[in-house]
Amino acid sequence: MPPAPVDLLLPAGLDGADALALLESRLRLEIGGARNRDRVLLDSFDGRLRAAGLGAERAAARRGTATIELREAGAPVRRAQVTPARRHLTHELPEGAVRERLVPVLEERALLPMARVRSSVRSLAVLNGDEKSVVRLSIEAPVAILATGRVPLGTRLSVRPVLGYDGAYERTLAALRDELGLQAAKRSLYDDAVRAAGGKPRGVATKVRVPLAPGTHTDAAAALVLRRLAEVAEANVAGAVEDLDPEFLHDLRVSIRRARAVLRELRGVLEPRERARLRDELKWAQALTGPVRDLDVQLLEWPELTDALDGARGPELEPLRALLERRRARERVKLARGLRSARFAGMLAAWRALADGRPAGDEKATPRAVLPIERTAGGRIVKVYRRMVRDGRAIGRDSPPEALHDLRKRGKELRYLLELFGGAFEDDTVEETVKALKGLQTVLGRFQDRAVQIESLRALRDELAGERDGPAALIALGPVLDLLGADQAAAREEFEERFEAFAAKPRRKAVRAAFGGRGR
Amino acid sequence: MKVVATYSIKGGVGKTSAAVNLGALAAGAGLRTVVWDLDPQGAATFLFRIKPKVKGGGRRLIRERDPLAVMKGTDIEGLDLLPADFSYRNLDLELDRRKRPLEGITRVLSRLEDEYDLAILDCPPSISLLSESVFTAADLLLVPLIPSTLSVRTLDQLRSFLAGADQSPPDVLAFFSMVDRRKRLHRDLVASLPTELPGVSGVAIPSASVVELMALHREPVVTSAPRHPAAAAYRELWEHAAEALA
Repeated sequence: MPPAPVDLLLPAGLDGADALALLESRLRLEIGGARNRDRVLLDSFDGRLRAAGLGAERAAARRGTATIELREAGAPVRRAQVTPARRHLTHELPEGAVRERLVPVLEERALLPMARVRSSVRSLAVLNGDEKSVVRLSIEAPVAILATGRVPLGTRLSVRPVLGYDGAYERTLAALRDELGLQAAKRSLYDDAVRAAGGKPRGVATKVRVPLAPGTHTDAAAALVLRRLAEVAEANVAGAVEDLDPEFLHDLRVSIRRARAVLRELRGVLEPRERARLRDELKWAQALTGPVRDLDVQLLEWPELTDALDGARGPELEPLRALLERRRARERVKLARGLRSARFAGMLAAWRALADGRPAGDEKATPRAVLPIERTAGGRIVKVYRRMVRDGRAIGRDSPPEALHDLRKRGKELRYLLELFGGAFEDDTVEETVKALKGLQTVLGRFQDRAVQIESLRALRDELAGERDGPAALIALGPVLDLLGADQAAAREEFEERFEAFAAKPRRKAVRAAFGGRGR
Repeated sequence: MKVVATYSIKGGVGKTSAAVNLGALAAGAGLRTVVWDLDPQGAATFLFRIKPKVKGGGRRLIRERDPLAVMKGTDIEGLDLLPADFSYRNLDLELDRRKRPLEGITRVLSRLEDEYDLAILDCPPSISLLSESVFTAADLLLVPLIPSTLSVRTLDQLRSFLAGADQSPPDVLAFFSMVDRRKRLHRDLVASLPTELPGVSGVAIPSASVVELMALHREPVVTSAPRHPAAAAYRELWEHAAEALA
């Protein structure tokens, strides 16, 4: 493993020329030219590049073409020419090293501008007796460009090792630290710039992990979880309105669905009228966001679907893809209108109000509010789990698809209970139960998703027939429906095995022991 | 990881120049690239200002050594070197001692599989067990041709040899090297051979002092003189190679 690169901060008041003179006094250097750079630093909304040790940037110019530069320790700078845009999805990037590296990291997330930095950069190299570079350096004096002004971020000296010259790297660092007194920067330039811009360098997390101390009253626990869910929902609204990437809408929908689950599961805990009103509004919001998400799923799965077809069939299906795109564009207008509406804002406000509000104090209306969360949530977990075991056992080869669909809905209920209130129980048992449940839900989800896809594609047949080249697409649709049907059947075949793992005796015992309770 | 070898039975035809310039271009294109200087003369190693020394020599490298432990970064970011060592003159003997001698080079490269996108092998001029092991490992052989009748014959010999091998042979991409446009024979062969022989590209690296001066400046032409026609020719060669590897 090569040593890690280090960023050092040059003392305040030292400009680039002073810094250079200081370095030259101690090190044998090759000095490159200085260049001015004005660039935007890029990452996904949830900070995937930073988490993967990657850094991406492109010139700040909004016209013409620009180069995305992707940096990673131990790899050369990867570059891709792009037209500057408010977002860059991986499938919109040109084929090449940048796209290849980013696809597994970003998946469906877009690269977004996180901060803008203007700076003067000078590259240097420490040389050995053969005039060979043995350590790479660069001096940079960056300024964060904000809508409200400029924030100097301190002059930095980046020190990077060259493979096989660890000794020279250590000696250089020692000289810089001990002889010149330079201190390591506490944060990367990216982190400093994003913080200066008011953002979160780690990105916005959409996970809902709320620590719940045993004994926490159920109303307080529900409020904590609802508050965190409201934060996630609010954080994703702007990206969903602007359609930056499909994950904004997906995460918004997940937080709405989870909030609905909290309200459904914890009866007798929150003020009944407010609870009922919010439940109605969340249901409306779920319906509002559904059509675009369904079409997103169809379009996201499109490459996989057409790749599975005979090569000639893919292009024939193009009218169908175009139809899905047009339908999505129409639905997106409705969605954006809905998300900007007073009703949606009112729904978010009601959500916040219920999460932040004082306890109802009416024992008759909220008899379970002061019970410890491990009792209320634990009771529900055991009850839903038992019901799933019972319903799952009743499913046989001749059971209708609805039986599997209903079991999946129960599974979702259980998953939300475990994920949202798992903080009140032992981590290991929660994790193991979630794992067993995930295995089952994957199969049930595939079964149900394929059914929905088949139905929605069938529903498009009339419209497709009227399209140019529609008849050929209709013929090509046949094998697509066959493929989906076959996958649905395969999921059905896998159900039994997954269910057995979920409902096995040791698992039943573990659930009873961990979550106890007799349920309500 | 893709593997390219610059190879010719003849010496002094431009293998090393091609290897170091393509290495620089590949790294510039964002590929994590390693050049392995297999020639005990160590010309590529010298060009990168690195000492031609591998601790434990070729024997240990072939047997068990992690190549990363002896590799060096070059002055070009993203381009590393597995240096030459004088003991490489005995690599044939060392390979011959192994159970499957033809897989010796592949075994060493397999340890770099996760770290690099491209390996460029700069081969010594010969046809030997080492060459056969290189042919087994390589996806693409880049063969420099000085435009002459004898060079064409040498290329034919190589093709016949590869065709007779047990394993599936690498692709062969020949290119012209040390081309002197003042010579009629050079001009004629550069014009005619690509249409007459399969696998011969029209890329022609000129005979130019800037290429010869690489040994003095110890830097690839594509970085020291990127606007020179020789650098343009290496870029064209890289485009052909990248296409052949895709």
